[in-house]
Amino acid sequence: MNSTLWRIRLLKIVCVLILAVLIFNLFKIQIIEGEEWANVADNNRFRHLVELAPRGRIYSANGVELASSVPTYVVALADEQNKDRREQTIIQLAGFLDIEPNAIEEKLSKHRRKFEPAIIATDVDFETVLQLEENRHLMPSLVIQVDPQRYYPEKDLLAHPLGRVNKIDRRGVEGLERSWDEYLQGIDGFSVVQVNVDNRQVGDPVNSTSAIPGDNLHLTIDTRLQQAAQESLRRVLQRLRDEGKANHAWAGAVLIMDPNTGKILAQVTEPSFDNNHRYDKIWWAENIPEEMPDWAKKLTDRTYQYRRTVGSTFKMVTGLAGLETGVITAREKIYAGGRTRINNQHVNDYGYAVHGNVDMRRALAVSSNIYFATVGSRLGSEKIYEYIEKFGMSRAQKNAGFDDISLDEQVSSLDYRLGRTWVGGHTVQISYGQLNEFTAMQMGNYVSMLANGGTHYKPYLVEKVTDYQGETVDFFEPQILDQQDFSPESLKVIREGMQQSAASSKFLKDLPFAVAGKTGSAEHDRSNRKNKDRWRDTHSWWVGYAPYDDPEIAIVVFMEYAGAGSRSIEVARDIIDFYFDLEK
Amino acid sequence: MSNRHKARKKILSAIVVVLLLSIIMSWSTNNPQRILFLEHLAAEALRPFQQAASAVTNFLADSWQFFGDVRNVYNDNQELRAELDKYSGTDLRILEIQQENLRLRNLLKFQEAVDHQVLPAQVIGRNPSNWFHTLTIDKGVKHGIKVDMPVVTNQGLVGKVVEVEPSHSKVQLLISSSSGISAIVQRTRDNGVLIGLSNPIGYTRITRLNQYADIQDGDVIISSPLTGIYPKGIAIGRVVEVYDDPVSLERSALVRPEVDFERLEEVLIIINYNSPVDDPSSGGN
Repeated sequence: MNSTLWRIRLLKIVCVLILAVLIFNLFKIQIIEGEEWANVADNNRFRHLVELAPRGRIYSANGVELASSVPTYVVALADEQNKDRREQTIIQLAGFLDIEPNAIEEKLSKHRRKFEPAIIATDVDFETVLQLEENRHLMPSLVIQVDPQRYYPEKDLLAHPLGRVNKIDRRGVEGLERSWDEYLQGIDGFSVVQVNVDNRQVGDPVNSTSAIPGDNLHLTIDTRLQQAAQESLRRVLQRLRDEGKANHAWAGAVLIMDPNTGKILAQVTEPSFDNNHRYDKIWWAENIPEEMPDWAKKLTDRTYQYRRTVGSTFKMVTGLAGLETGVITAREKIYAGGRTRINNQHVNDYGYAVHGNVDMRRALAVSSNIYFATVGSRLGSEKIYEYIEKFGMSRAQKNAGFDDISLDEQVSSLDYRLGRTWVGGHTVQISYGQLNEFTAMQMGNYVSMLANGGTHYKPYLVEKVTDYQGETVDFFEPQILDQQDFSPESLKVIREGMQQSAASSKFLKDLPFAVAGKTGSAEHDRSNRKNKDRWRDTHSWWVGYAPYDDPEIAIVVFMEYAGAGSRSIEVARDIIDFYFDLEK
Repeated sequence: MSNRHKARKKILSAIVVVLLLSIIMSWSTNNPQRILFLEHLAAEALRPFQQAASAVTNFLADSWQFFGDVRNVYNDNQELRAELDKYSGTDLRILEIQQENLRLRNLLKFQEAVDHQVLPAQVIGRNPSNWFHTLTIDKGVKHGIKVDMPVVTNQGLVGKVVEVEPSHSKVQLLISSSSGISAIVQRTRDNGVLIGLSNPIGYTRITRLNQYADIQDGDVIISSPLTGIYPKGIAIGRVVEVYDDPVSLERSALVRPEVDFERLEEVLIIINYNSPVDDPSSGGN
């Protein structure tokens, strides 16, 4: 009897014990470690996926894709709780990626955000991706993500202004990519998907916002014209070097604008480079001629990041100022006898040629330095700088108001007055385009204003912004920054002078319509014995517009160290032929 | 037994219980293994009760089921009688054999039409819960079957071998959501990946196509030799819908497979296609 009682008690004790252990464990799991276990469970169930938004595309005016995005593949592994499967997956993946399993382990151990897959490899080639896809059943936690990267299908076309995107954070860091980054950036998508015990997605995402691609830019550039200008410039420079006419003719620029709107139709810099390899030393080593000197290899855009003396292409500023202020009339003749001294400054015409008595038109046609030095000395430097400003070429008017590319990436003209004691000789020299330096962009605006009669249109490159569905977000109309009321008579004289100058060129003689133009053979500082460039040829310039009667395009051709300005006309002729679809 | 004695005993047992509890708690807290041991003990002790309880529950459930079943059995019986009248058994067998004959003839024709050496196999197992993922065939290592060998019918690609046993193997269907096959659009030769879909089930999607790829409804999708598993040009399916996703840098399309996966009874295993990565002897008979 007593032993029965004892047994019952023992049973009671055991029951209480069991119950106590159970209650204690429940308490431990639910309350003490509750949060931790809930996390583990959610980790198993949910996976966070980021969908990277592709950058907006950049199109030319004729619809060619200048910047697009291409998928690059990122291989990642989601959290895997099952130890065996985790190990198997790592070994398999290491085999396909041809890396050590330890390298994967290391990446996984460093990965902190357990909800998100850990990135194992980036830039995985397509064939490997296909192989991985075919063996997904062996690696349930495998995630293949698409990482959109910038691609420039036209390679070296417009490479300079397009700029560059940072590969890591995919933000624009140079050129249009930088200044239009707010538009071009898309909004990344994000989704939370539920996965089953095999790490496979089940059902629709629990929570998702889809990625919105960035807005597209539509440029004013016509790729066909751009291409034609680039090929011509490249060819002419090459030939000048090959024929030993100008051994340093490696670099140059072409700017083509619509003088009636300010639209930039072509914007060429030579040498150019494949923009997909902008900072790729190997590409440069393999694709750029070994003989090219380092100064030419710079990535500088020679239309808005570069200034040089412009030589006789400046003479229309002095000429128009002379006529407008009345210091000279169109008919007054000045004797150009090859060489002279004005304001105690030696002046000579090209090759000491004697042109005799020349008026304004004739002086432009034969490009007499003596004539314009005389006009300049009558005007005085202040008046000349006043007209520089009227043509939007002053230092303050950075690139004539072109601001589609961030101003801090652009340079402005060099004002020779700064930090100098001015003497009369300086006035003489600036009258025919020495000392002061200008950019091709400023020259483009200047010649456009001569063509359109004094309207300063803002030069622009971006005409339209559309969203990814093609809806217009922004449209940019031509913008008038300034309107000069030059007298039509003065303008007519200057234009006729330019027309005569163009007509005298062997490259422009046989055109079906007249064009206006002016050459420039710009000297750089050759007096300084320490200047290593002093033996090099002059810069070759040509500015002009066509047709003469009804201007459709304004052209600037600049060939650095290429010698006489007349050499640039060959490029201008190619451009005119192409634009007006002329048979040669 | 005096009352005082009783009270003292009660207090004593309470103290013992508390003491024991504390000992067990501290003994088990940091070692799950020990809890497990206790759980086992408890489970063993409770098992008879659980069995009794579930027996009672099962009995009740079964009884309920029984009444329902009686009705079903009655209905089935009526239908079966009608069916039995229609066939006299042998007809059915003849029909079956005829059909098998036809299928095998078709397979034979296919075998003649392709360059590859194929081994016919019977589908011997298909797990209903896994209907769209895998099936089991009656050929295995003994017959020279190896993992990754492509499986086809005269209609087109079925999938590939993923597991081999001595005398049977498991085939992963291309409509399985864990299947991925490198495939090309026949008309344009664009390369992509064909993956099985869980929705709509039985369909596949070709994806990872170039963003500029020209793909249209009705385009034929065929296997690609790029990764070395599948021979070139085995029919897979036809495009029924092209997805137009402006966000994606890859094009994709919904593809209806050529093979009727609902009715798969015989398949062919391509045994002599040497993937470039394997050793040359892997494709022998």
